[in-house]
Amino acid sequence: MARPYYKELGLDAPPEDRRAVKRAYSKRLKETRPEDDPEGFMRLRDAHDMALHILAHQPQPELSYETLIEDAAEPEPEVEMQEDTSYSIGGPRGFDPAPELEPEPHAEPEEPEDTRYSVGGPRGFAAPAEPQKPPLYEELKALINSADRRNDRESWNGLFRKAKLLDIDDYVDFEDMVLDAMLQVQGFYKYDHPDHNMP
Amino acid sequence: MALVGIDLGTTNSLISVFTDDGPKLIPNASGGFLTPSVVGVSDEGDILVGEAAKYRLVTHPDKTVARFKRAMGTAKTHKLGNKPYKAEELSALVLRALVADAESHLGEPVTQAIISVPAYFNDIQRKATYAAGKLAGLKVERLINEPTAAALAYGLNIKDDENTFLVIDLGGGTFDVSILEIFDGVMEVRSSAGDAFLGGEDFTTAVEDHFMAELKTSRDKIKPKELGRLRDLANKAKLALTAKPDVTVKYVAGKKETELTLSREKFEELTTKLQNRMRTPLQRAISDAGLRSADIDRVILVGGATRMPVIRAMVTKLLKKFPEHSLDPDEVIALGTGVQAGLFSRHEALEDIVMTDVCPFTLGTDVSKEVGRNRFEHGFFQPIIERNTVIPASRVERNWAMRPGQEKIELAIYQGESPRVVDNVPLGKMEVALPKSKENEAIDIRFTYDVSGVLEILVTVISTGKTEQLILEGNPGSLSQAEIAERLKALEKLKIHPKDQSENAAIINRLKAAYENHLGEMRDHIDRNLIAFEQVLAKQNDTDIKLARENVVKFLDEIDSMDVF
Repeated sequence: MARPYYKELGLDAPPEDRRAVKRAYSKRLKETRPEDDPEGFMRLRDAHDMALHILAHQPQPELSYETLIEDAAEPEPEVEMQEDTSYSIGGPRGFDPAPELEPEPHAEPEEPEDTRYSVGGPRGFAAPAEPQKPPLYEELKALINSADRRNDRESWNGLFRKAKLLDIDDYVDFEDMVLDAMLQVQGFYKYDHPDHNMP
Repeated sequence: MALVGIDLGTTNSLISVFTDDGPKLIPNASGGFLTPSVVGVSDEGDILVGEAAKYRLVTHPDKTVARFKRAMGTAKTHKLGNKPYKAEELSALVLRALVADAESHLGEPVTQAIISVPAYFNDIQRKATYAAGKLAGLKVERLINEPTAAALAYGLNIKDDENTFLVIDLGGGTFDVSILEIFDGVMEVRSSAGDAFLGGEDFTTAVEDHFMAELKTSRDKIKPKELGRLRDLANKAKLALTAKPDVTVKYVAGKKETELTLSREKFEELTTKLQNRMRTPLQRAISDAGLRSADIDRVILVGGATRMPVIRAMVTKLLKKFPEHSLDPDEVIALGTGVQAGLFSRHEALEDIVMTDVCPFTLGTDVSKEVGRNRFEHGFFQPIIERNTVIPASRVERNWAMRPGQEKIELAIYQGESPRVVDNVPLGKMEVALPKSKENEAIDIRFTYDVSGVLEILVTVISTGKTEQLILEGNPGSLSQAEIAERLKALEKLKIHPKDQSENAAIINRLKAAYENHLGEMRDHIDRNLIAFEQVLAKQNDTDIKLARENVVKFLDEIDSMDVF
C-alpha cells in the first residue's frame, strides 16, 4: 500500500493536469478491467480520484500567498480561509474588491451568496455593483429570516417544488445557494464573523 | 453455447447477439424484433407469450397479463386463469420465449445472458431479475443498466472523440437519465438518476383516464374487457399523436359506438404532472456530475416513449440542445446488451473499449446517535456507498455497540438519500452476535457493490476478527434459493404453446380482437378473413399459410389505420 497514487496510474511523477490523469487512467484501465480484476480496478480508480482531487485543490496561480497576506488584515486565519475555496464555486470568498457585507449581525445568510456571485461565478456578466442574485434568492432569504416558516417542513418543500420548475442550470445554482446558506447558518463559513456560531 | 444480450422491457422485450459485424438483433417467430412482454393462457391451458398473448389482452383480459416488470421484487402476484404468478415467473416465460427464438436462429443452445435493467432498479429488483433468469434456465452473467447499454450502442462509433453525453431513457415503465463521458475508448458513466415508476405506460393511463371521463365511467365501474379495449385505444391515440396534431378513435361498447378525440394540446395538459416528474432526475444527474447544461455535447433519446413530441420539446427546452435519435429508440438498449455480450466474451472488435458504471443511489445502514449522556436518538441513515460512486466499489464503516456488554447489534440496510431511514428503502436486516465483553464492542461493516449492481455485505467483529456475510432476507418480495428451485420445477411442467404455431395464433388473436373492436359491416369483413385464414391453416400447406398470413396482416394494418384518424 506504500505505492504512491501516481505509480498506480503507471506514472513516475504526479500528473500535470486532468488530461494527463485521464490518459494514464484509460491506458491502465485496459489492463485492469473492472469485471476481470475488481480489486485492481478499485485501486486504480482510487488513484484516479486522488489525482483529480489533488489537482482540483491546488492553489490557483492568480491567488498566490503574497497577495493573500498583503490583502489580509489578519494573515493567519485568512490563509486558512483560503483553503476553504473547495466549497465555493465562483472562486475563493472574502476577497471581493467591493464587498457588500452588511454589518447587521442577524442577516448572515444572504452574505455568502452575494459574495460568491460577485466573484466571477457562473453569472459573472452581472455588473459588479449589483451582482445578480441566484434564482429564488429572495424567497430563500424570506424563509430563513422568518422564525415561523424556517422550522416548517412544508415551507421548505414549497420552495423546493418551485425550484424544481426552474431551468436546469438555475436549479443547480439554487441547490448550491441553499447549501451555502445552510453551511453559513450552521457557522461553517466566515470564521471572523462575530456571530458565526449563532443559528 | 451462445451468450446473448436481452432487453427485458415493461412493454416489449428484445434479444441480441454480438457478431463479427457488431451487435445484431434476433427476430422472433413473427419476424419482428419486438416481442411484447405479455403472457397469457390459451383456452386449452397452454402458455402464450408475446404477440400471440398481446391481442388476447383485449379479448381475454382475465387470462392475460402485461406490465409485470413493475412488480419485480415485490410480493404482488398476477392471476392467469386461476393460478397466481409472480413477476419473476412471468418474466422467466418471456425470457424462455426469447431464448427459443435465438436458439432456432443461431442453431445452438443459449445458456448465458446479459440482461438490462433500469439504472434506478434497486437491489431487490436486481436480484429478482437474476431470479427470473435462473427460472428461465439461464446463467445471468451480468446485469447492465439500460441507459448505459444505450450509450454503448451509440458510443461504438465514437472511439477517438472526447464526448460528454446525456442519455434520456423513457421506456414503458421506467425513466432513467445517465451522463457519460467518452475518452480514449473508455466509456465512463458520470452519474445516473431516475424514477423506477415513470414510463410510457403512465402516459397511456393518463389518456385512458381522460377517455373514461369522456365516457362518464370510471375504473371501478368499467368491465375488464371494456377497459382492455379502451386501453388499447388510448395507446393507439397516444401513438398517433406523434405523427399528427389531433386524433379520433372509435370506441365500441355493446351496440354503441363513440368517437373519442384527443389533441396534442390536451395530451400535453393531461401529462403535465408526468412531464414535471422527469425534471428531478435530469437536474440531479447534471448536478451530481458537476456539470452545467452547456457541458453536454450530445443528448440521446432512448425508449419508445421518447417518440412523443411533447417529450422531445421538453428535453430541447430544458437542455437547450436538439436531442438525437439516429438509432431506433426501441432497439438501442437491446443492441447495447449485445455489445456488452461482446465485451464480456472478449470479442476482438471491442478490445480497446472499457465501460465503467456507477451505483445510482446511496447505500447505508441504520444507526443511533448519542445525543447526551446515555441518551440515544435512533433511525439515522449512515451512508456507506454514496450515490454515483464508480462500481465495483467497496467501502467500510466502523460502528460501535451502544452499551458495554451489549450482546448483539441489529443491522438494517437501507437505500436512499434521506438522512432518516424511515424515508429510505429497506433492503434487509441481520443480527450480529457480539462476544461477551465489558467494553463497547466495535464492528466493521463492509459494503461491496459489484459490476452488476448487486450488494454484498461483510461484517467483522473487531475484537474477535470474526467475519460473516450478510444474506439479505426478510424482503416479502424476494425469492429464496429454495423457492427458486421449487418454482423452476413448477414452470417446467407448464405447457408452452408450440413455437411454430405461435405466429398463426397471434394473427387469429389479433383478428378476434379486431372483431370485438368493430361493428356492422367491418365486423363481417373481419369474420370472413378469420374463417378464410382458419381454412388455410387446416390445409397445412406452408407456402399457402405464409401467403395468407401476409394478406391478413396487411388487412389488419389497414383497418388499424382506419380506426385511428
